[in-house]
Amino acid sequence: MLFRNYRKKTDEQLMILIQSGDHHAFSSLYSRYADRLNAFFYRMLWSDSTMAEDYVHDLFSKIIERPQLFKSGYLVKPWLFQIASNMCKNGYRKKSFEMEYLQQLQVTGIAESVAEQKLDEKIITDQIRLSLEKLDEDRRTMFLLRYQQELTIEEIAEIFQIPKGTVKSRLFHIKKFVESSIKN
Amino acid sequence: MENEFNRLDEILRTKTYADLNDEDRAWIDEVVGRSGFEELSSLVSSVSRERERAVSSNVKTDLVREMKKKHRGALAVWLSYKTPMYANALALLFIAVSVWVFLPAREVIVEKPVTVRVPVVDTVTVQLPSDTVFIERKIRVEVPVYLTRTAAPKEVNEKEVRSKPLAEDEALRELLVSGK
Repeated sequence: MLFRNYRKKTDEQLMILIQSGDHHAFSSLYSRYADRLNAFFYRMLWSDSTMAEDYVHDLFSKIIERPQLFKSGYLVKPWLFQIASNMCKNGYRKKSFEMEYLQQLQVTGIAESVAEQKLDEKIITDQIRLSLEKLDEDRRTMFLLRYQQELTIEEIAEIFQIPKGTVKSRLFHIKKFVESSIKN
Repeated sequence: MENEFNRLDEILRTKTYADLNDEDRAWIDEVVGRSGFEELSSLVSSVSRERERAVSSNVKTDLVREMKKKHRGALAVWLSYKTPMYANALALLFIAVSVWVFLPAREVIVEKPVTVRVPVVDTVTVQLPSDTVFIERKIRVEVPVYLTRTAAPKEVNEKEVRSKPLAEDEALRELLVSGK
């Protein structure tokens, strides 16, 4: 255990060690992916750094709780980003409920707090966030996976479980969103 | 479509609008337009610069603690929670003493050379008619004796092994001297 060279191990080998309860392997896998996942969550979740860190924590907690979810023969990187994408989908769903609730509050005359207004103003100034918000959920995920995390088209296809051609087609149509936003 | 994507993807990741050659520039103008390309290109270069974002160290500490807690062995759990520390120490002491007392003693065999007086054997060869007498005598022999912890070697009784000297055997002397 003490003399294992974790740096030389592949992600898949580390996952197998994690499944047998090796916390050094866990620590090593965390070091490889935590910052990348944090950057991904940050851009996916409205540039909210606290929420992004919470999601990183939750994702790795899932791995600790149920490491057997990783099946040998698959690759770890797409698997991790697949979990992250699914977590973001849940996050969007939760956010839409919250927005509906807030709208109801506004209808009933309860105003937003000053702190919330300031936070919103701060977020709106983030140009990348504004640009990303023009994309729908799936395209935003694909765009970030491709150009932020530099995943291959094959890896993205594996994450979404769709053919490579479909990934390329969806990414290519991002240009339409850009065109429409420029016209607006 | 796939070829078009591959071309746009390559250009977006490697070039700005100013870097484009005439052919690529014409193609980009047709497909996405200059302003569209510049917006996309700017977005791609911005997100690619933030591939990593540091997570605060306490997240890792919490997770590693969680991992260790989940995979702690049954013995460690028992030692930590089920009994107080002095009880564990007493249990270990009891086990150590039990092993010491009840373990069967191993028989240690050592070799110790001792010198033992052995009965003197005289061989007398008489050649008739000649009067020549040969006498061979062995007076010391080293015998290995194996000792065990439970069985000590017996002392050799010198009286038992001492025999009568040749000179005292009168009959033999008479035979030799007389030459009969």
